[in-house]
Amino acid sequence: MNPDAENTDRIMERMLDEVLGQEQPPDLFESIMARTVAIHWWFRLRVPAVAAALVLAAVGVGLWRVSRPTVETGIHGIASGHVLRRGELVMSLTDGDWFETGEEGAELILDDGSELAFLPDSEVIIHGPSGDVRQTIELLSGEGAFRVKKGDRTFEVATRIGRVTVVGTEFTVGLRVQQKQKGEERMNVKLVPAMVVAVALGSVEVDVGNRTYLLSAGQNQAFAEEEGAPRIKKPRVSEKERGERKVRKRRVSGTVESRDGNTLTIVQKGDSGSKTHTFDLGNAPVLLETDEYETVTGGEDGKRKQRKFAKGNPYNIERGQRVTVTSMDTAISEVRVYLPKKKREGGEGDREQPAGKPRVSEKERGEKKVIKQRVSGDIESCNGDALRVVQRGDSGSKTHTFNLSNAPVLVETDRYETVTGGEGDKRKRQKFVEGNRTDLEPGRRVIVTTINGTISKVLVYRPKKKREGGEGER
Amino acid sequence: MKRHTLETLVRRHQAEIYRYMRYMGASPADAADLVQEAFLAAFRGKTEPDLSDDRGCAAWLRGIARNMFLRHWRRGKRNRVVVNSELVEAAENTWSDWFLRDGDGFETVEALERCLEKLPDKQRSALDMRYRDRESRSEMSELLKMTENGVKSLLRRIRAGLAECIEQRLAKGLSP
Repeated sequence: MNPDAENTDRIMERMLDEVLGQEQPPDLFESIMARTVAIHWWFRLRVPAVAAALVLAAVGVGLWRVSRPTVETGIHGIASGHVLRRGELVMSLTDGDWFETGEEGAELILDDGSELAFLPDSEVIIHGPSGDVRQTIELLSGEGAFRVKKGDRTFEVATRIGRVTVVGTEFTVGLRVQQKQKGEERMNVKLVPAMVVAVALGSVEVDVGNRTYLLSAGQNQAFAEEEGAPRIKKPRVSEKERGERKVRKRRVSGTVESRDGNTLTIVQKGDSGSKTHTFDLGNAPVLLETDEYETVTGGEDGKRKQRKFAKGNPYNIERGQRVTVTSMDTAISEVRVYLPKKKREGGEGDREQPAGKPRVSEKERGEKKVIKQRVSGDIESCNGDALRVVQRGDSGSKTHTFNLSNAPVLVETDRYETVTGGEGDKRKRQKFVEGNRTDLEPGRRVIVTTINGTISKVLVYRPKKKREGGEGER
Repeated sequence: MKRHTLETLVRRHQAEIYRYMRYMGASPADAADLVQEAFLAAFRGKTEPDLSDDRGCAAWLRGIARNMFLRHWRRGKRNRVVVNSELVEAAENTWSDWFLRDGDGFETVEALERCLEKLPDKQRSALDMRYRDRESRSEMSELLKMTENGVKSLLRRIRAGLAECIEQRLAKGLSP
C-alpha cells in the first residue's frame, strides 16, 4: 500500500470510529483554561514542583511573560517597589500607590527582594509596614503570584474577600467569579465572587470572615465571598496519625455469676455456647430496673413507655440476676440490673410465657414443622403407585414423581358447591367428587398436595375444552 | 498570547485538532492530552495569531499539534505504531486534501454518513461489527465465515470504496 493510500485508509478508520463508534471530540475548553495557571519562569526554573502544584489550581490564573528584571532596587525602603513590564521599569511605587497592570500584566519587585507578578487587568495598592506586617499588597482585582522573601515580619495580601498572611513562601491569589454548584443539582450553577489561593511552597494563613484556614504547599482553595466560610479540603488523616482512637461502645448482656467487690463476672449464653466476661466496675453507675414505667421521647408517635431504672450500687448485684454492662473502650460506663423474670410477669410489656407454659423448642417438644406443598402440572404417566407430573414454567419443565399410596383422588365436576370462607362469607366453587386411579390419565391437569412429602390428595381437573362455556368460565 | 485569544482559539479549533490527532493515529486519551498541550504551547509562545484568519490559525495549531504528536511518539518507544515525520507529513497532506475544504471536517464526516447509507448490507454489517461493536478480526472471521486475512481485506476494500465515495461527494457538494 502506498503512503497516500495508507494515510487515506487511516483517516477512514478514524472517521469510522467517530461515525459508527460514536466517538465525539471531547470538550476540552475547561481543562485547557484551567491549565493556564500562573507559571512564571522563575517558578519553573527554580522550583520545578511549583508548576505542578499550580496546575492543580481549580481555576486558571493567567500566564506572565515578564522577563527577569535587571533594575536596581532599594531606593524607596521596604514599602516600595518597581513595576516592570517585559523587564523594563515602568514606574516606582511608594506606600499607598495604586497601579493597574493594563493588558500586559506586570511584575513588581519589592525592596526586600520579594517578587510579585500580576495578570493583565489587575489593580493593586501597595501599603507599607504596620505593626507586625512589613508589607500589605491590596489586590483590588485580577490575580497575582507572590514569591515572598523570608523576614521577621509578615507579608499580607488583602482582598475584599479575605486576607492571606505569610512569612516567606510562594503562592498565588486571584479574585475571580467562581462557579458554585448548589446541592446535587449539577445544572443549578451560581456565579459568586471568590478569592482563589494556591500555595506553591511553604504555607499561608487565610483569614476569611471570622475564620482562619491554613493552606500548605500543593493545596489550593477558592474562598467564596458569599459564604465567607468556604469548604476546605481536609487532608485525609488516619486515626493513628491524629493520635486519636474511635471510641468503641460495647454492650454485654448476661447472668451474674459472681460479684466480688468491684469485680463482676457474668455469663453470656448464646446459640453457640456460653461465654464468661469479667468486668472491673470501678465507679460505674449501677441502675436497677423497677416495676414502674416512665414515658420517654421516641417511638412512632414521639413518645414511648419504658421501665424505670433506679440508682443502685454494686452490692445490689446478685448472683443469677440479668444484667447489661455497657463499656466505652475498656471503661464500664453503666451496669443495668434487670428484675428477675417472674417479677415481671403480668406487667406491661411482659415478654414471658404464661405461668405453667415454659418456652420449649420444637426439638424439645419432639415436634416437626408441617411442610405442605402443592405441585400443579400435567400427568405424564401413572404406573401403579408412581404418579409422574410435569410442571411447566417460564424457565422450563420439571417432572415430579409421587407415591400415590392410599391418597384420595378427587375429580373436578362441572357442578358447583357453596362453601363458607374463613371470614364467614359464602362463595361458590367447583365441586370435586371422589375418583380413582383410572382418572389419572396422561395429559390431565392435576394438583398434588403433599404434607411432609406424603401425598394427602390429588385433585384432577377436567380437560380445558370441557370447561368452556360453563358457569364461572375462566 | 492573551487569554481571550486562547479562549477563542480553543472554542473554534479544539474539535478539529482532536480529530487531526486521532487521524494521525493517537488514541482518544492521547489525542485529548495532545490537544491540551498544543493549545497551552500556543498560549505560551510569542505568536499572536490573527483571529480573522481562521484557516491560518487552524494550520498553525495543527503544526503545533503535529510536533507534539511526533515528540510524543518519539518518547514512547514502546508504542506499537511506528511514526516518523515523513509519514506524519504525508498524513498531514492527505488530511489537508480532505479537510481543508471544510475546515473542521464536519462536511467530510457528513459525506461519510451519506456514503454509509448506500453500502450493501454485507459491507455495512462488517463495518458495524468492527467499528460499532468493536469485534476483533478473529471474532469477525467466525461470524462472517471468512479467514482473518479475508476480513482484513474486506474492511480495507470497504474503506477504500468509502474514501472514493467521500471524494466524489465532496467534489459534487453534499447533494444526495
